[in-house]
Amino acid sequence: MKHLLELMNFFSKSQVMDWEKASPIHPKNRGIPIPTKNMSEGCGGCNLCETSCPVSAIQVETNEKISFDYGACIQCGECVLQCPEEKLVNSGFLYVFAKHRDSLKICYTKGNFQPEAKRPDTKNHIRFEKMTAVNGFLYREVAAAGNNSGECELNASFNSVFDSEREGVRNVASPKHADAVVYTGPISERMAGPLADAFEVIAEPKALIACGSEAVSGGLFALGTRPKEPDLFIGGDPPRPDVSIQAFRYLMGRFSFSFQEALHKILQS
Amino acid sequence: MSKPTGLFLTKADHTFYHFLLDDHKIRMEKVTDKKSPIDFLMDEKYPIWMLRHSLGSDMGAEDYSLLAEEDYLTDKRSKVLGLHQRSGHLRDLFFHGIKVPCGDESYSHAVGPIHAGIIEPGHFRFVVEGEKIRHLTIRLGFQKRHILENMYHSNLNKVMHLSETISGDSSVSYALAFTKIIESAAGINVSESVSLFRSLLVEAERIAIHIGDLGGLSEDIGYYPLFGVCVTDRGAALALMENWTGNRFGKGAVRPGGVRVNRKISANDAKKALFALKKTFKKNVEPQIKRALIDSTIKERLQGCGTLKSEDVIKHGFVGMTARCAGVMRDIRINDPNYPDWKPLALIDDSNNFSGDAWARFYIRYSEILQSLEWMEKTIEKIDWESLWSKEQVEVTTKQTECKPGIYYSTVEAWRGPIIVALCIGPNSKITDAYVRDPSVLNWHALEMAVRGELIGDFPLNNKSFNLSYVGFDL
Repeated sequence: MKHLLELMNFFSKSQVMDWEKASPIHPKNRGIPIPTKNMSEGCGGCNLCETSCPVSAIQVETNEKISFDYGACIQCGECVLQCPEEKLVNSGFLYVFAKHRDSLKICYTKGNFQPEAKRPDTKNHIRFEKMTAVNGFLYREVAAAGNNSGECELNASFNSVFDSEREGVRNVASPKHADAVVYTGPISERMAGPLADAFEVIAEPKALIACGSEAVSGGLFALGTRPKEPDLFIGGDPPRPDVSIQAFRYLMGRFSFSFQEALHKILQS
Repeated sequence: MSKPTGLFLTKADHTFYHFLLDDHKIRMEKVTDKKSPIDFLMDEKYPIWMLRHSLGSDMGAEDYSLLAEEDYLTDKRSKVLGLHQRSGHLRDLFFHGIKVPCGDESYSHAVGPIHAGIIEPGHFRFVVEGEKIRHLTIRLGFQKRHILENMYHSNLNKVMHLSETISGDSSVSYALAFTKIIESAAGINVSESVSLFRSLLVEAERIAIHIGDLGGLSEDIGYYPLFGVCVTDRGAALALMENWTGNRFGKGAVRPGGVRVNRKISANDAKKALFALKKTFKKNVEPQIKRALIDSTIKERLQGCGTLKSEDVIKHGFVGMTARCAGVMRDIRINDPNYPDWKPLALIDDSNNFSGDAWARFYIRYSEILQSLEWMEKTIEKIDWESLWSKEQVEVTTKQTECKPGIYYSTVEAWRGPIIVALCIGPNSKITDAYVRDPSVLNWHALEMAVRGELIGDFPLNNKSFNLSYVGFDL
């Protein structure tokens, strides 16, 4: 019987996530807040979203102009609840990642925005992409005062649904064996040194990856000292495992993506 | 018998409040017979890790290399005066450099701050003789984010968000502890449905972590059938929280006045969401756990590994799951009005499985998942889902709250054990002083004790079986 069951396993459907079909929108998750259609008349300018945002990611400049820093956004849904005219909505959009920090900042005018022209990759991006495009990369995870939910999600990225290893992306014990450092958390004073050391011992070309809103902007805390400007910024508190892996694929050049264009498409629909 | 399980020293009036755990309840009391940290140190009923966590300060590098090993490991604090204090000030448990006694036959082995797995940083100093651990010293503090100071400068809205970062895997429990305080300070009453639903969220969090930990334990003993299933189907419990709250860890959901439920799904779907978890657990996870439980090699591998005696639990005041594993019933849900008809685990009838070893820590996770699932299934019938999922219920949580100044505390039985939060609230609803005690504060010492005499190769297994919080300790 047991052997029969094991044989059947070969023919049963795999539950692994198909990256070609994966959607940046999750139907149940809050995701980032975006303006609704009736924002085109302006927002009312009560500033409640700005003052209630725990990470100061929102700035209401005028009645018509609001800017969001989605890298800092912890997707808590506070602004959506506070808006008295319900002009913001939890979009469920989760693919908050970019190679440049500023790409995650959006300034809406009357609830719409013009996506930026593609920012050129840095030399390091190009070298790293060339090295990893076929073989993937190994990373050392450093919890730099992360609140352990980010670590939970990175651990989950190796399970049979997300299966990070099929992309050749794996966690290794020593930074000396790694190609990249993935860090979570706002970097406490006492973790800045170990993080810098872990990054330093990696041979070139190497990448520094900020995983989670706390790592990108500090979140609710002040951001500590980073060894250098990260090569990849992943927002979310914490980012879902599929989001992290898609971001890694994007860094390796296997996933053609632009945060601003994807967000723009959602606004249009 | 009441056992001190927390100690809060207020900054403003320099008063000591201790938290006593007795009869499955924690109460706060003012301490009148003690004036200084040394008075507490000399009273051995106060657990040492709790004292050093509450009262300790940076006293520079620790050097115990000249002490004899038995003096270093002694429980009699009056015997070696320099062990925990220097000139009247208690040392904290942060890493400032440490030298431990190490004989000629043994060697001292440091691990951390960055560990090999995807896990938080801490410093572990082993003294090993061949493969055997003679003793282990744990020092933390790498994750310190000054979260309490941050709270003093924040409004209550931000404090609630901060509370969820105290320890990410206990987000719901911490948010609930803070919410209960703010609600009692502001005189807010919530409906029965709301308070029961919050308990459901705490239990969902427990199930998610327990399934993940069963996977972690199986990985550490190289038993992959269960590992593969658990790390994947832990997602079912996280999906339940995502369905209910919109976040996989339940962040941003529990707030003073109510619960910010996920209105992307209907009330009816919300009620049914639990059955998806139950189905996955019964169909995929439980058969594999049962298969592991009857496998004699797994039993032999785990039994007798990292044993914690029940006398030590009582003496050192270990709490929560760690205490229950050693057969000591400590569960504050028993007296909690938000847990109607809560049935505690049958620790006495099943004492073979609760003998304080790694097996017990494996077995208890399975037992607690079943226990929580059963209770949740009964409880969803008592909740008025339509009113809970209404817009009005959610909107109440956005109102500004006015708190009456004073000192407040609350406790929640999170998955690791009881968490204690005490807040001094001043004028304009500002928090002026705070005390947060994660169960890990006490239970880290349990890990130190459990691994003495064990093989160093078993350390990852033992560490995983406790799964303590670094960040909840460092704050």
